[in-house]
Amino acid sequence: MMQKWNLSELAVRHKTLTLYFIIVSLIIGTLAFFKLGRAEDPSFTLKMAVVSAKWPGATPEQMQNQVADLIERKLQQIDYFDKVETTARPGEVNMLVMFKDYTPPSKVDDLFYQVRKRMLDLNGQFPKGVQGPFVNDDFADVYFTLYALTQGNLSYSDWVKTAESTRNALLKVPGVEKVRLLGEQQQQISIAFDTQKLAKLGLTQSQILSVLPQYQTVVASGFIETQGPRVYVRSSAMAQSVDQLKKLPIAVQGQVIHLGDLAKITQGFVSPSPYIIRNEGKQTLMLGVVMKPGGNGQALSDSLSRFSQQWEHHLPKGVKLEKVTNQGDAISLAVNTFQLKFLIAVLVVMAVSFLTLGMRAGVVVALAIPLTLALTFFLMQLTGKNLDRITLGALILALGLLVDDAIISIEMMLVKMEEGMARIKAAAFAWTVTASPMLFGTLVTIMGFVPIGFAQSNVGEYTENIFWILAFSLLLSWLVAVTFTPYLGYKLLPDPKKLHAEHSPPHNVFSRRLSSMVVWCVGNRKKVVLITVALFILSVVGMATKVEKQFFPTSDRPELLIDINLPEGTSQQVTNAMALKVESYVKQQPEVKTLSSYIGQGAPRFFMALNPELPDPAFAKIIVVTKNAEERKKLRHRLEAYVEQGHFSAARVRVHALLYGPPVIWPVTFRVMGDNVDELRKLGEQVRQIMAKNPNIRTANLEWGNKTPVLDLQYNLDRMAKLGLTPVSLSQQLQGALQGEIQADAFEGTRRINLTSYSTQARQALLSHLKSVTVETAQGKKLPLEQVATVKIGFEDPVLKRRNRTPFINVNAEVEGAQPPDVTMAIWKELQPMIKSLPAGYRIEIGGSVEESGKAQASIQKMMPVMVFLMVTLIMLNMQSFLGTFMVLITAPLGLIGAVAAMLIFSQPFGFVANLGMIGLAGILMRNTLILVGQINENQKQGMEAKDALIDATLRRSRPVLLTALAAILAFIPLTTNTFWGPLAFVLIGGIGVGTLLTLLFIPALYALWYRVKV
Amino acid sequence: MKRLLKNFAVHHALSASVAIVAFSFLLSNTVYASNTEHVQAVAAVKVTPASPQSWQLTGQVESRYAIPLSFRVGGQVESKTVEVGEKVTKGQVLASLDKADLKLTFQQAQANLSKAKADYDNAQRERKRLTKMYVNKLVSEQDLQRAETTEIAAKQSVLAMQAALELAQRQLNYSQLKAPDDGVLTNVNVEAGQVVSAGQALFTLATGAHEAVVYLPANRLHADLSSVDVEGVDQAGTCKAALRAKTPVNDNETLQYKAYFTLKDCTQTLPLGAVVELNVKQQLNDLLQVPVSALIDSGNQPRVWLIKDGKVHGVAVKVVSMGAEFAVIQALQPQELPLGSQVVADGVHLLTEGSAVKIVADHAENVDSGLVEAM
Repeated sequence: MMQKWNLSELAVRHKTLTLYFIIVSLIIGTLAFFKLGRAEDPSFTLKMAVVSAKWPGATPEQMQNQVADLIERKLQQIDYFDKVETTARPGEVNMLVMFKDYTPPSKVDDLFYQVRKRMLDLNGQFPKGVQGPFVNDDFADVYFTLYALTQGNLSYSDWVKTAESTRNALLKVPGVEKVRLLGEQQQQISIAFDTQKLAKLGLTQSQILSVLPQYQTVVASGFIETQGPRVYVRSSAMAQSVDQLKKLPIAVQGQVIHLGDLAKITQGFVSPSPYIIRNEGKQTLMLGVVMKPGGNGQALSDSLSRFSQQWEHHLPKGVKLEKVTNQGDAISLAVNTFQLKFLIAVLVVMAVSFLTLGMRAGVVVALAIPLTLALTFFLMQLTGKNLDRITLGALILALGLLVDDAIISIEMMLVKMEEGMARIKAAAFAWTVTASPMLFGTLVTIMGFVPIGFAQSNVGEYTENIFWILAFSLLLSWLVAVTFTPYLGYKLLPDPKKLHAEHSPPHNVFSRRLSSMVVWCVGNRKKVVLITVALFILSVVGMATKVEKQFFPTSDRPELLIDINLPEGTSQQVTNAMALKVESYVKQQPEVKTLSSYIGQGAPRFFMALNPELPDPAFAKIIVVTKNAEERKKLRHRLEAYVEQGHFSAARVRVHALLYGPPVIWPVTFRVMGDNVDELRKLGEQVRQIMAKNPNIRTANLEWGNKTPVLDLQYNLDRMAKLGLTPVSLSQQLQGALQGEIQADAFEGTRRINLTSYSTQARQALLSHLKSVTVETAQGKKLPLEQVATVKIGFEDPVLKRRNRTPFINVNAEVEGAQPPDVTMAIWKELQPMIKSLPAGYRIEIGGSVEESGKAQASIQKMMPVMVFLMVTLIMLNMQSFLGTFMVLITAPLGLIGAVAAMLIFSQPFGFVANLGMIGLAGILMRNTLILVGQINENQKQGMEAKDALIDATLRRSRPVLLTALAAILAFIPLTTNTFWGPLAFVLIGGIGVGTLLTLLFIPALYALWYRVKV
Repeated sequence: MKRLLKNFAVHHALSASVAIVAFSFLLSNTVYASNTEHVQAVAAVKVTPASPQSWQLTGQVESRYAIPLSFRVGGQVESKTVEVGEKVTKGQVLASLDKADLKLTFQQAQANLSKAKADYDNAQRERKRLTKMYVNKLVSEQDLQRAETTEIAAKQSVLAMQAALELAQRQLNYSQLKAPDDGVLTNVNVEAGQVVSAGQALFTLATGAHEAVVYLPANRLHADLSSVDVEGVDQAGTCKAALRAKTPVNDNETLQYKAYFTLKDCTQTLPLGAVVELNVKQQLNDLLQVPVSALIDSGNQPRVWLIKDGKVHGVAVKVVSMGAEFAVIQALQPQELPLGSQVVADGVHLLTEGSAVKIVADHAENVDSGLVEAM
């Protein structure tokens, strides 16, 4: 088949066409490069949503048993359902629903719809008073930019109005999908009664308050159909402001008194607030911008900068729109750095070609690079891929590999021309001999990355473009090598001096040395094979024990995150005060660019892998944006030292940076699961103690488990009945006294403001004076609370967490001085005796980064058989011999030797990405062997003696093989400084370097050993 | 030689690769171990005796006595010389009735007395004359006895008329309503010209010491009410109070017992009717006090962390009551938590039994709350 369509010959014969295609390729490639979207990370779909419900007055247990249970059971029926983590607090429950990792991204929208549908089905099945369930499937939205709007001199309502108009204007910016207003505090008008005054008037609060809805409800007054328009009758008795409310009349004993005389009316906020956002120490309103999927990040960043400059003119004096986080900066940082590295790699590879092949040949090979890249960019544009961290890195990887084919093709042409063949014939010959093995070799290399391309998991989605970019570029490099390169060679190669006879390998100093080495190896084949095997075993041992394992490295992003955890159940004001304390210290540090804090909930998702924490009054988060990763490191050390000194002793203050890869909260997590919460606490404490013994563990802690005080009211029911009181009315009165009771609404623009009534008495709200809170009987007689109830202090769980309806406690810890996977496995070993003696129904699982990486690895492992099958098939197709296939396959693991050496010498951790490189390395090395063994067979077919065939083949193939290896190694060196790709680069450099050497030395020896070649 | 060199070169290459791998083993770091135990910095506080707790009652100020005053006779009120709220002294005339009728009655009585006296004189002379004549057997015994009885009757008549005169005099005095004691008039229910009947309450005089009247909830009936402070709610002024009396029967509508407290040592006189708050102090013996944030319950028992020799030890406590800042506790084993011992004030969720701690000074900072005020 290959012989029929000799592409090289065609290309060389139809010169004009070929030149035309070259020019066209370059043009469309350049255009494509500029049009390609730029992003920071590839987008992968987060398959999670949040379902929440409220039930004021319920305990966490009631929330769990009466509300969450029903919802969980419904959720479990949905396809691809993986797990639901339920967090129950007093009066509210939040459920994080996660779908299986291998859910196809296209199905996710449908799944969210299913969730909503089932939640609607549940309406009416909940106890009275339950609000919800509410589904938040915007949980996975990433905020491209977060803006803070300062208040200036505006009143709160005007401030909100300004924010709303800014939001509407932002929606019009091209590329923006959603804009959300965050941090708005709910306003309320509080009506505080003086109960003494009321008593004198003989009125009860409820009598007065029943008046309010009479004024505040919107009710139709009728309309009249006239001969012209329909005329509506309007009455505007609704009070819209505090002053109007003060004038509301109340009839008392035949007199008219105004509401303002009976009560103090003020406008304020609902306190405590469930969510407060501060920027630079001042409470703020935030606008979060979500980018349209598939958009160009840098373009959007520019549009937004232009917008904010223009919008400044529309804002009132003193009001500013400040940027808090911006993904555009991160994109620029990532993409620009990469583009630089990319350029360096290109230049390096070109230089290598020049230096080793001579000027003209070097030019030909060098030209192959932009041609291949241009076509690759074009393909990327066609398939809608962005330039992001993954694709750029993959392009650099490809760079090192794609010159291979061009070198082989040109080399063959050169050799044949040096032997005296005419140009066109040399080109045609190159095709007949090299095209097929080149193609198979390329395919084998690509196959090595198949698991990455098709792994069904979050991480798979994240890294899949490595496969696609490599596939595109390598296949295109083959195409270029068999069409454009011969043409260019035909045009540019110099007339060679007839140096040597036909069918003989080149002679120079290098080849002589190499040939002597190969001869020695063939001569001492047993020794060589044994040494190689020994080295391999050594490197396996080294990998298992010495090399540090990692999942994903710490990101280079300049943001520093500070998590503040007070004891579970702490009041919001204490959390707020602690956050302020931390903020005031951090503000003084020089490295801080922006400082924003979020109290009561996690920060909005400005980074894909940062799951916002669910509402928790005892939690606050501070985000510090520094100038770069170096500054961030300095600040982190200083902050951690300050915390160590005990300045924030009341809270657990955790300072950490963003990680690459899927969301992982703590590096080391163990999950204790079982039915009884008390037993879980005990077991969790045991696990924590075992963890704390490990020298690399810091701050081992249980995620929850402590109880908080509650006031148990024990009612004297008989006395209450005699007095005409019921528990419900009593609770309502208490709630009214402590938290206020919503009576009616006032409207202001698009907002609804609650009118909340409070009864004031001197120091009423204080805990210690709860007993003297005045309650009213049905007849209006006033009593202190202690007349009908005794108050006792009890302790209750402020939060209950469970996973798929089994309670669980996470035992978390930080690591220092080692990588999480190593520490986790070490502790897991220590836990084994405890695990064996666990009571029935209880189990301990590994969580954290190890669990995530396990999932990722599993998805890769699933594809391995496919990959192996494809590879073996391809090799068989090419070699058509079992022994040949075996030879080729044997080289695959040899890459480990060099990889382990490189990682140990340069202290690199072996992460997920490096693992991908290891798998790909197999393909790269096998390609070389394929070509070598192919040459050996060819030689033997031509009638050479076995030994000569061996040595000749090795020498012949040595130049291209070594050249490619050198090009690859040098191209990967710029990648080594990058945190994300560094370990991969080292793996490939070490693996290719040592592997190539071994291919040239070990394979001949093995071949000689196997075939009993006589020396 | 060449062979040697060749061998050497090849050996060189192979041994180099072995060396690389071996060398890398040596270079690789052993897992960095830091065996120093983590010392947590904490804020500490001393255990103090529980500050006296107080509970509150709300009541009003009343006077010890509130006497309704009325005329002892009916009549038309001629004048009223006082107004409501006036302070009066003992014996001060408050109102007077029209005297005309009473004067006439007085005159009538006077005249009657004169007549009775005249009759008596006559009866006396008559008896004397007849006694003399009886000795001379000039009149009958019957006449003498008649004269004697007439004399006796006339004498009694004089006495009667004297009494009537005194009565008329007294009634004349009743036309003036005088204050029986020093005090304040809280109610004046009469105007000049009004016709009133005897015993109709016209004034209310509040006299006696000021008292605070409160309702005691049923469970406080037997509480220690010995140290009570009074504070005016809508009037300024604080006083001390002493329990005077408690009603033995409870009020039907609220099932509470009324209690009366005499006010003394007032900084400012609290007006009658003022709403006051009574703070009853409870001395809590052998109860301790710690900040609320020092309590931790890891599942079955509330505890505090006692700091001893640089380590923490959990001491089980019972929480008696809680305030917004402090909690009153009692150690289950009192000898474990002596007064003045140091406990961890906050961050208790970061510690476990036996954790090493070091105490840091607490930095109090005055920070702007960063919260927005609604305008």
